[in-house]
Amino acid sequence: MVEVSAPPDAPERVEIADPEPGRRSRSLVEGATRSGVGAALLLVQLKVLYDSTAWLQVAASLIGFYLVVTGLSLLIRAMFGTRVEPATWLSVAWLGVLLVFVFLQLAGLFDNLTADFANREQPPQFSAHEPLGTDRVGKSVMNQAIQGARVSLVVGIGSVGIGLAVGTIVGLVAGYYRGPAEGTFNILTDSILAFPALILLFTIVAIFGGSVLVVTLALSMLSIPTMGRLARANTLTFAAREFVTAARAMGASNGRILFREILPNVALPLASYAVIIVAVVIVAEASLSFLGVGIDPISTPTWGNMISEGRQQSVLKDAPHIVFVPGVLMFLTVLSLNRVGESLRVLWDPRESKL
Amino acid sequence: MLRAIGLKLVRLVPVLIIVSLATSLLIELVPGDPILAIIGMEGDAGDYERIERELGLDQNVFSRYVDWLANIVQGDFGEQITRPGVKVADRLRQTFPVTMQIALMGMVLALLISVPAGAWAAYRAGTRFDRLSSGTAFGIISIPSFLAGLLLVFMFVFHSAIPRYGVLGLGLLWSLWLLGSTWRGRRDGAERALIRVAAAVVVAGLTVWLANKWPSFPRQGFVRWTSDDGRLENLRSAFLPAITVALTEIAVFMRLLRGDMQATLQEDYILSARAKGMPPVRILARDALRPSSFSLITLAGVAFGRLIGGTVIVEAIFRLPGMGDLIVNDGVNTGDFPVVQSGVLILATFYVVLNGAIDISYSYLDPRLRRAR
Repeated sequence: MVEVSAPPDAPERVEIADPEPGRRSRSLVEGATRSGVGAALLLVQLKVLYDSTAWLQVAASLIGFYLVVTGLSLLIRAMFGTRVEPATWLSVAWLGVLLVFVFLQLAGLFDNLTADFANREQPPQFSAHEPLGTDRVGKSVMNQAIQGARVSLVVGIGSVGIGLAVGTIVGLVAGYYRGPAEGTFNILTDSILAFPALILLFTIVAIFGGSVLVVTLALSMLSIPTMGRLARANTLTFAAREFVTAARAMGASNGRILFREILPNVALPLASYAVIIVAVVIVAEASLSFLGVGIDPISTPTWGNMISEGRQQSVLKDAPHIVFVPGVLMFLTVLSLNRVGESLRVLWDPRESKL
Repeated sequence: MLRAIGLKLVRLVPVLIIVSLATSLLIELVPGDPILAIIGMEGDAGDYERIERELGLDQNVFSRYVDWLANIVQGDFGEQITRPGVKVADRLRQTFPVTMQIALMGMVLALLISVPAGAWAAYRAGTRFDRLSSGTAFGIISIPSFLAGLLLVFMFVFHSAIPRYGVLGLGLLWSLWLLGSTWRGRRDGAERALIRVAAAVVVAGLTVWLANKWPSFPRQGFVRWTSDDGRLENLRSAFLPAITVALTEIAVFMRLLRGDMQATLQEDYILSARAKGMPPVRILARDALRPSSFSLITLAGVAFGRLIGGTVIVEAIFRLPGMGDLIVNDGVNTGDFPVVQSGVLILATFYVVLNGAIDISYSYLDPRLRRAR
């Protein structure tokens, strides 16, 4: 499975001396125009079209989004050369923006979640007090969404961190020693993965209650076998390599071979997969909340909790922004994590990218 | 071959035992009490103990598990605790087809769309079609299924003008593009031009017809395949859930097939087929598809297994009476362990058997593996 994200002729376009001097400034101009027009469309969508027909809004936002992204890509290419991948850097930028908001939230901003029943179901409007509108009881959608971002990132990074730590060690041992260790490992991971994931999570949350900690630990139950299998598969290939034989011939202990010879080779590819699994976990956490069995919606707003309001017919019909504001944030976050993970994999996993 | 199947079946046993044992332990820990659900508000402590004894709930988890296992081996799934007299097997028989239908329709839709699109993107690697479809696929992968479901409801149920005009616009654009290609290829001869113009007319006609006859899709109210309302109603009510399920899979399959297919198309025998003047459709379908489809089949199997167990979300959005609904609402929420255990057992068996079947299917796809075994 190889991701060829750049068109095949891209390497030829990496020019050292610019043979066509006008092109750079031309794509600068085009990029700036495109992103400007796109941003303007999005603004118009929010400011003028917020109570017009839905298909106009959807079309305007889609075209605006497309123009902004392609325009920024052109700009990045024109400024930093054709070798950089604009999509990856845009993704990194988005994750950075998200982190900044999360830190601002931790510092005490975006804290206000008081219900204001008089101003409920306000649509997003830039001039208004609440730029992203209010929910069914008049709470600020923006503040909830930012707090939801915090929860998503904590759960995602926390559980994948645990999965990475435990899974790597277990997978290394299983892949290196083979024999009964590997057999047990296979049966255990098969069992966990054969268990319908959502039902497992559902049961764990039903037992221990829906706190951030419980959901994080429950999701790490799922990322441990995934990371473990990857670690085992990678260990298998590296354990057969010459440098391992050489180390053994020099009298290195098993522990030394595992942690000084194999682990450094296995770690980077695993880390790049881990980024993608963070995205999967964020989606899983939101799915739980969406079904109403995740993190408690009253004390902690999460993206999934917010989106689950949309299960009510009236919300989706009359105040779709309650669903789509957290939805778009989540989409962008998952997209960015996937993109960054993919680029890291191409960079760090020589086995896969060679093909 | 038989030996391979036998080995797979042997490996199935410990996995299923662990899964079902883990299920019963988990259910034991869930706070719901099925007896309270039966006796309601009127019963007293005496009733409670009597029912507990009758149902064998006073025994510990392990002896209950052994009882359950002994019954299962004899083909008896037992009765639902919270609804005495209702056989779990009947409930499974009612709900499994619903889940199965959604999963199957989703898979068929996904394969029908992703295989041609992925193959064409590989054949035309680097062109606008490739970049657009690959980019779209990457975006679609990042839409969680519950969000996709709500989005589809929003568009198809509440604002049906969006997909309707969308289809109309795209179809007309396509037909215009076909006309354009007629002009660009005007030296290819009259026959080619005639085919292209005819195709353009057909595409335009079909989209106008479709936009005119746009069906309305219900958000809820699943009509069974066997009901009196007919098959068409059933398909209509299953359409949105199936699309929701298919959406992510389309994108994943497409990316996978495109990558593998691109590698296959570098092979010499493809070049020789091209040199002989084979049309691209034939090359892609007859020569390149089979060797490129290994990862696709593996992934499709895993995805299908996951769909069978993972339609809980789709069932919740569209209120479908499926397996996920049964296990979660009738099972976990009330602590009704026969339901949960039997349901999970079926899902897990399905998952493992499917994966085994895929392993075995490789040797049918690739003769070289047959000899190696």
